[in-house]
Amino acid sequence: MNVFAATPPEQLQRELNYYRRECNDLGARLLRLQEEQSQAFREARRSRTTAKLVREAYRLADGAASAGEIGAALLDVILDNAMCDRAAFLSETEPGSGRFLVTHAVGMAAEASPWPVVIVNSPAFFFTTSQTRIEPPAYELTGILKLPYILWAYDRASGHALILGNRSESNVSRPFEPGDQELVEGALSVYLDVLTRKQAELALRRARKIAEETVQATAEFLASVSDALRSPLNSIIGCSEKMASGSRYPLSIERCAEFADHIHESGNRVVGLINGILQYSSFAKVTLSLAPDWRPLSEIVGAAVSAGAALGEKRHVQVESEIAPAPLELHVDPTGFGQVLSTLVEAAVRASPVAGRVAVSALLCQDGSLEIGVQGAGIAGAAAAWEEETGEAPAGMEDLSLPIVRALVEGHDGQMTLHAAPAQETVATIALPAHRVRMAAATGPALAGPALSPA
Amino acid sequence: MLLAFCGGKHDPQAVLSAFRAHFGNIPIVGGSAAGALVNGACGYSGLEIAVAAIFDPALVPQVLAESGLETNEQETGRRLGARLARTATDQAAVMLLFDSVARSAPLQLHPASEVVRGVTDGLAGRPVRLFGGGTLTDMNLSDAWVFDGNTVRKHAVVALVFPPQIGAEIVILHGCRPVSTFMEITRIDGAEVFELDGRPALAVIEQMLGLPLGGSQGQDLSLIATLGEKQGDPFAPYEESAYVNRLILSANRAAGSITLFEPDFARGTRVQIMARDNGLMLDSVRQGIAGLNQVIAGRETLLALYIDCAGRASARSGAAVEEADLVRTLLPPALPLLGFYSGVEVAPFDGYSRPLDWTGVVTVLCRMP
Repeated sequence: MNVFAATPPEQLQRELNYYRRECNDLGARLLRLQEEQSQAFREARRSRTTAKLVREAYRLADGAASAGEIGAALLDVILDNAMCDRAAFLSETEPGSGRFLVTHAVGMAAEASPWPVVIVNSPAFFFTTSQTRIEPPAYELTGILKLPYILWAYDRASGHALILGNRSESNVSRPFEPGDQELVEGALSVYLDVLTRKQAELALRRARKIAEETVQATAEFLASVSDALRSPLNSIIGCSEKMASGSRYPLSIERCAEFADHIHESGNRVVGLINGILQYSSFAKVTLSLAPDWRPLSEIVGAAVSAGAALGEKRHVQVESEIAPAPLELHVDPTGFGQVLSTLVEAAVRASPVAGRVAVSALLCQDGSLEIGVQGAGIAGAAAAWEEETGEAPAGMEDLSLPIVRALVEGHDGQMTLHAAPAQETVATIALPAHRVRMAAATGPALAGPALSPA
Repeated sequence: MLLAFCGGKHDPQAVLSAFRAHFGNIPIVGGSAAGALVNGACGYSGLEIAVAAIFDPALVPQVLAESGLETNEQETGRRLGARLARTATDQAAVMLLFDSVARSAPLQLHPASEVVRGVTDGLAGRPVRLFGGGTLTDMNLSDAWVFDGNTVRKHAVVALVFPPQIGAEIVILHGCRPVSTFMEITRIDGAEVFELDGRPALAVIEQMLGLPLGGSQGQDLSLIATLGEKQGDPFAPYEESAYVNRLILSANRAAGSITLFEPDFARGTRVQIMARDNGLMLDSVRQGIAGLNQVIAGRETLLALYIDCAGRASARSGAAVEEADLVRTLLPPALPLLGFYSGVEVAPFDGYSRPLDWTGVVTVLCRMP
């Protein structure tokens, strides 16, 4: 039986309307349920982001060669997981100063500013939405990434900050909200943890290297000292035996005076060597306890030049600074780095001929690093290297401080190179990386600044 | 030749220069991508670069490119189609790429339906296996560009015409199901639908969702619902491949309208509101790839290309499983895979190639027997 044929059209229409209503109602419910499910999953995905960041960050920390590499790699992970357009890590030039420099940025191409951003009373957490009024700190913070919607976290203790940004508030880049505090602060916290861990790991490696070099240098030093002591002591013993009572050696007044001169000269050589031992010990202690601070370049170089000039006066050796009065500052241990320069300058003075000249110069490189050159007729380390090549006796080489000077330079993340040639001046160059150099006025890295003097 | 898809956070000129420096002066075709995938990974951070290289000169496709989408999408497509008709052999595999975003403020897309209609007109009956997609720089539809073989272009459409010894096996992966009865579009202008069954279209959608929409929230619509047109018998049992879906781009509260991604629906078109169904999407991937694997079994496969609607990424769809991950793990591991997240997909459907929304188009290039 055909039920439709027996049913009045009005009734069929009524039934159809009923089923259509129910169909649409059930469809709407299904739609909402699915949307709620999707929304819940998207929220869960956001929550998982922090956990993923932690895992990825520690993996990165294990693989990264330097602390600097971690920032860039971690930003990639943050960008990937947080689905934002741009992100950057910032660091205060001095904790609490409110002057921030972008240390790492991603998604910005060449738009990241090399100049400090000043954020007065920087908030620990901040975000902007389309409802946010553009006034401090929103104005300054949105300027960092040059995007209108930002999410910011700042760790006052360390002076580090993380900022994420979006171009728009749309379906994927949804508006930032208070619930994002966990994400951005978590990401910053993870970064600081792995950064500290990496820095500690690198410091340990450096300390171990220094310790190994110190042990090696000690062994070499003792062997060298033993040999060096033997000759003057033998001379002292030999001369004094001949002068001793009961000696059958025929002594004249002239021979006695000659032996006394030998004894005096040998005694002075022994004292010089003992001074070398004390100096070595002092340097080794300094190397292991560097306390860097921002100091004017002119001040550090000036102290070394003054000390060298006092020594040079006796030998009529001229000691000069060729550093222009640019307001550069170095992040160095004043004592340790001062000793590096003093040692090189004094060694150059000692090795210079009478009426010679020793000069200290500096060159600010395009990448912000600095090269300090000590130029003279004979620098201890250069002369030592020259001795290795030629077998000739070096001039002014009583001390054995080269390994210590080198270790002190490396303790400042720098490198020392020596250039020497026969009958020419020698140059010791100390290269300090960009993060150890800044313009005093800008208190930021002295990137691409002018050459202070030709080096 | 290089096929390259590049996340939108990269400077395309810098990427092109890097390719040139490394690979020399070879053709580079592709474009921006909201995300990319290869056999080993997929992602959509905007930092991905996915590349496939075609070494055998006999397999390298010819590259045709036309500019002018900013002026007239259909006419630009028609010019390309006419060149295709002269270049392509019958049933040649042709990959079509164009930049989806015409301008970002206010957002305006290059409608794929216009481009494809133009290409079809220009082909003048030449049968080709046309597939491809519209590129995006990110999932927020910020921008788009293409590599045309030589340089970076905007408002351009590029075709890769594969030689006759290469065939294309194509499968379309879906994931939407109807959640309403049929409704008739009673007022429409281009892509802007004003009325459904005589009522303001936005009000109808809002009633379905139980949410007031409008303003910036209008963009959220594309996350939730689409309008679908069922092909063939409207009362035949549900079959996912019977639907052409159109994503909702924006809503206009003042006009009570919604704007679709494509302007190819007309007054009188009967549509249903479609819900994206993540479970259905993943089932479609499993079934579609299984079927494809059967088709290509025993054949010499060269390259798999996956053009995946950006809306299917789990960050947008909310799917618990990354759909693209499922695709790459289900395809044969020895088959090289290159894919990108797109704004629109183009594939042969119901007898001819047309633009599709919220689909994944898998194409396996095989050597013809």
